[in-house]
Amino acid sequence: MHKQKKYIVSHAPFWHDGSSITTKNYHIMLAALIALIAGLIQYGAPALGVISLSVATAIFWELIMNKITKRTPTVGNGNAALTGLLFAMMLPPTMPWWAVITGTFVCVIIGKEIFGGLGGNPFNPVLVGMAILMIAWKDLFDFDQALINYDFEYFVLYPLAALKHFGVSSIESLSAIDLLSGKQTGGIGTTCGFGLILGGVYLIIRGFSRWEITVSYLLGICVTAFIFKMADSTAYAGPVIHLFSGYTLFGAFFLATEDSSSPVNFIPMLIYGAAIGIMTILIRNIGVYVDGTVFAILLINLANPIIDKIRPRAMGRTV
Amino acid sequence: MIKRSFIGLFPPVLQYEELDITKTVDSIKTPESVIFFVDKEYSKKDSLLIQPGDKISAGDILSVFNDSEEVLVPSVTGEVTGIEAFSGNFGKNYTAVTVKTTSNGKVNKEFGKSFKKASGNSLNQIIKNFPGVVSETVLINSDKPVDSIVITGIDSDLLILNNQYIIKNRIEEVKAGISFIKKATGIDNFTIVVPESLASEAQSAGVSVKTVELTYPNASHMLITQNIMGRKVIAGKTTEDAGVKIINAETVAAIGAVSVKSGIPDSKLITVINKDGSTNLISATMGTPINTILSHLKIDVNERDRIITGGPLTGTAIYSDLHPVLPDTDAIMIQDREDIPEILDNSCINCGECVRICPANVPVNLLIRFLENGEYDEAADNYDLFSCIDCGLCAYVCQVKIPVFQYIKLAKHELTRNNTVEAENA
Ligand code: SF4
Ligand code: SF4
Repeated sequence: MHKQKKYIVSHAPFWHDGSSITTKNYHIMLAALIALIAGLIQYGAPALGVISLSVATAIFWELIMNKITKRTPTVGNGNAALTGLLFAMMLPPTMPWWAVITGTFVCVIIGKEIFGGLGGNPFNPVLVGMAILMIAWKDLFDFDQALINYDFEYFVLYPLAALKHFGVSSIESLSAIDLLSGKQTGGIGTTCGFGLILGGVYLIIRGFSRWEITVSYLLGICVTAFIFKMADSTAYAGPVIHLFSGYTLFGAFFLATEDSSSPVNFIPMLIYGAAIGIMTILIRNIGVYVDGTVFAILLINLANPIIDKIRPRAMGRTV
Repeated sequence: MIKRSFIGLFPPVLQYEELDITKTVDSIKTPESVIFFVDKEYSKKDSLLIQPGDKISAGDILSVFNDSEEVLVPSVTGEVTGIEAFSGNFGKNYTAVTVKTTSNGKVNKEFGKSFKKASGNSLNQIIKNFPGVVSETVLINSDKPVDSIVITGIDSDLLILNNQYIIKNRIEEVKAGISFIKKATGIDNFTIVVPESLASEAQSAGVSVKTVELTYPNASHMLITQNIMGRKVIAGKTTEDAGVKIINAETVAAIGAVSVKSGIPDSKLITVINKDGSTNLISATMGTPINTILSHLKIDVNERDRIITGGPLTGTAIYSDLHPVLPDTDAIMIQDREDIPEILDNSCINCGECVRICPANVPVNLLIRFLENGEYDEAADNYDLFSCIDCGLCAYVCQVKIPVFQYIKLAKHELTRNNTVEAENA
């Protein structure tokens, strides 16, 4: 009698390209590390504290939610940690502990879990947390004030705030190179432009994030800023300041590209990126907020499902 | 298994293998017992025209059921030892006929003659027993008359080399097959589709030759019809609806061989895909159990490995190594349990990999949300379910390992079944 062995039966395809969400999340964290380390060197131990607290609590919130909803824990895929990390990178190193914990709660629970977890969220969870903190405790984000006790070897300021309150002349001395190498104040991990670009380009080359969104976003910033400057060069700063200060680079490489809240088709990706860029500058130049990145991305997140309706016609479709 | 490359800027590209012209075919001895499948459900109540104990000869044209036109053309001479029901995937049922072979048994010499005399549906039914035939292939279909016949000299799934081999080595038989089909169908318009490297061989058949790029899934029948033949296939319709019938070169060669040499189309060319991805070409008597082939090639298959009939992207996993070689068993693929990719019940993260790789522009990221919730009508009406050409690439790239392709097939199956039931009740 032939003894039948048991074989694995499942549906085709029998190959997989090996990609995984876990790998992707860990690579994004890895890429963020370059800018983060620069930030840690600049801001020291308090910054490290904020980062650790944020990552830990983000994981904690997600775990609790997994337990409450009786799902298999999802924290292993690195997404909660990534959310915590990106969130902390946007904060000033002086952020009080309670604000960090509240922030990650909002990011993970309200930004993501109540929509059914990863993939269901219409907004970038990190930005939901940021927006709530920025509205509720505006003063915590006065970067210059927050950093008053730091003794930097060079002259630093938060360029966008200076621009808003004191006009273009106050920031004329800032060079692109200085800005890119982090000689400005800002979030823990968002000031070192070189690091952000390096990490972001790495993600794009590896296929972990989409160049279409990043490139159109940066172009949107440049063109809009340029137009404003053309209109009135005494009131508005040029593209360089806008590109290399505030959350611009961080947003372009790490925030706008979040999967769930961004389009998947080619043209929509371009529109989406450009729209965020334009919106950012509009808020910065005309709006009340110093940096428009957070609200610009959130706003365009909202429009994402509509933008993504522009898609190539499926094969064999008649209407 | 082909993994994503380090540079991931563009979607991964899978390439068809080109035939290594030094490849030879290894013939496998006819085993002591073979199994044939008849494409009809069997229940104990059915009165059958053949019974266990009956003697049959290779090349007989046997009716199996009273009330069905299905015929069985055995590839061996011997004695029927069993008749059973067999259920395949998606509710497909067959009647399995087991035959003990007699060595040196006489074959039915009349087969060639009867074949040449047959016409209409009885010809279709005989051809269903020919190697390389796909279950839907019928030569003559008065409901859906076609004006062009495409002969594929390349298999639609990856790594399978059968049709390329036929073009390279048996083009004369293909040529004979073409003239037989011309006469039987009255269709004049033949095109052979081959990879560039086999174009000159294909030329000698004397019909139009078109070449296909080696990027998967260009050799899929839908894409051949649309891109190479320039016909638009409306979503949910078949290539035949667009006037094109597609036949594998292997089937055409078998038809040609019978029409000139009066032999019996008893053996099937099979690409065996080993655990390491290397391939062997073998020829086996139809009905040979797969385990005979595996032990001939000394392939060890262990508990929890996977045996697949067909290729890596569209094949079918089987649960028994006693499964026989059927006319459409183009490949046998063995996958080590270590290499079996995991499948998860995650929800879609909207990464868009599937959308960017889909050759039919299906919005898979949206579609999957409806399929997971069983909203098949919505999926078909608004999210292009029926535009899908069944290539499997979406599931190949899915970052959270959703069995997307399975969802798609299931939905299509359910909707088609509902439509049939409705049509019957109407
Ligand atoms: S199987 Fe997937 S990738 Fe292939 S055509 Fe269908 S939806 Fe598109
Ligand atoms: S590849 Fe998978 S996770 Fe990504 S959009 Fe498609 S179905 Fe969703």
